[in-house]
Order: sequence, then C-alpha cells, then structure tokens
Amino acid sequence: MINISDKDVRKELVSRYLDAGTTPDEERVLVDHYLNNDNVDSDELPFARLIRMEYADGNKKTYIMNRDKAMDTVSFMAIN
Amino acid sequence: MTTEEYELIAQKIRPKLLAVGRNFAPVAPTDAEDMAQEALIRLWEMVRQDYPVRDAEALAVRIAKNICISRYRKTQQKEQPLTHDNYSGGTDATTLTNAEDIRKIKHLAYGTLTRTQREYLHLRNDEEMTLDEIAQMTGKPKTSIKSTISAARRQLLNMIKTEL
Repeated sequence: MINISDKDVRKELVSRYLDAGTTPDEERVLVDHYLNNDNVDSDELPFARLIRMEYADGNKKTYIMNRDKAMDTVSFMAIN
Repeated sequence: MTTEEYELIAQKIRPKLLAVGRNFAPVAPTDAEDMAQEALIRLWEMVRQDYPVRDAEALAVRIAKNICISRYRKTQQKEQPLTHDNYSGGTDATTLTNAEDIRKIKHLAYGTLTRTQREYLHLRNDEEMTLDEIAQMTGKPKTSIKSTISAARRQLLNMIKTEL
C-alpha cells in the first residue's frame, strides 16, 4: 500500500517515474493523486502539470480532472 | 518481412488470436474469426509501414486484446441508459472544451519528441505495458527503452518548467 499523502513517498515516486523506474500500479497511484488533488505544493506543480498533460485526455486511464485544474494547465501552457 | 513470411506467421498465430477472441466472448460481443482477421490486417499494416516488429506473435496478441477491449467499451457505452442520474460532476461543457485544449497542447509538446520516444510513451502510458512487455514487443533492450522513456519525460517536464 503506497502512502501517497506522504510527501517523501511522493518525492521518491516522482524521481523513479522520471527515471522510468515505476511500475504501472505505482504510476496509477501517482497519476490519480496529481489529477484529483486540489492542494498541490508549489514545488510539485510542474510535475502535476506534466501528469495532467500526459494523462487527462481520455486515454486508457480515463482520468477526468476538474475544471479549475484543467484551466490551470491550459493557461500556463498557452504555447507562444 | 515479405508477404510469404507474413502468411506463414499469420497461419501460425491465427489459433492464438481465435483463443483471445473466445476468451473475451463472455464480456464482449466478439466474433473470434472477425477479430482475428482484423488483428492480422492491423499487423500487416504495421509490417508494411516498417514498424520494427521483432515478435509478431506477441504484437498480434496485443492487437487482438486491444480490439476486444475496444468492442467491450463500445458495448458499455451503448448499454448505458441516458438519464439525469448518469451525469457525473465536473464534466460540463467547459471542462470538456478545456480537455480538448490540453489535447492540442499535448500534441504540440509531443511534437518535440522523437518518434521512438512517442511510441514508447504511448505503450507505457496509454497501453500500460511494462518495460519487459515493450522490450518483448519491439525487440529492443529494456535498458534502452527505460532510458528513452526517462529522457522523454524529463524533456516534457523541462518544457513545462521553462514555459512558466
């Protein structure tokens, strides 16, 4: 059981995710956390946005984010 | 792979594809023959497009399972009654529009990746395949796949950081 609410656990998972060292199950927990958690710390925001971009488009994981988070992601990534 | 080689492989793996179709039959209205045929056609299209097929059997089985899952999902959508109770919160028109915008941004961001990076990310993120499965399908070393995915994820993250 992954204690995703523990920041140290998240940091370790994020690090392994970026190294492609996480399992699909671990990634599911990680993605679920960043798509559905309203209170993301500022230092975790870039990673949260990466996850929202990678997974919130109706692919197999079928995650749906709420409107505020979608707006946040869209506004920051307005491509120049 | 030549046409003759493909036909030999197709004959060999056809029984396995039929078995996949029969296994899914209880949950998906899948005619095993049709599904096997469709899987073989898709395999042939990938071969024609020079997709690096190292293990045709594993790839064909994966394609067959995806077809079955796709048909199952379509069935679920058709069978779901449309009542006001079925609308889930937070998925109004604005949210869906934003999701479309994110899809476009993702398309642009992924455009900066190499074809191999995009392929591996797709297999990993969308198909939820393990590194071992990707290695088996593509015939590439697991370490190479891992470093390619890692580089792609870090590149996307850096792009996000610099856009801020």
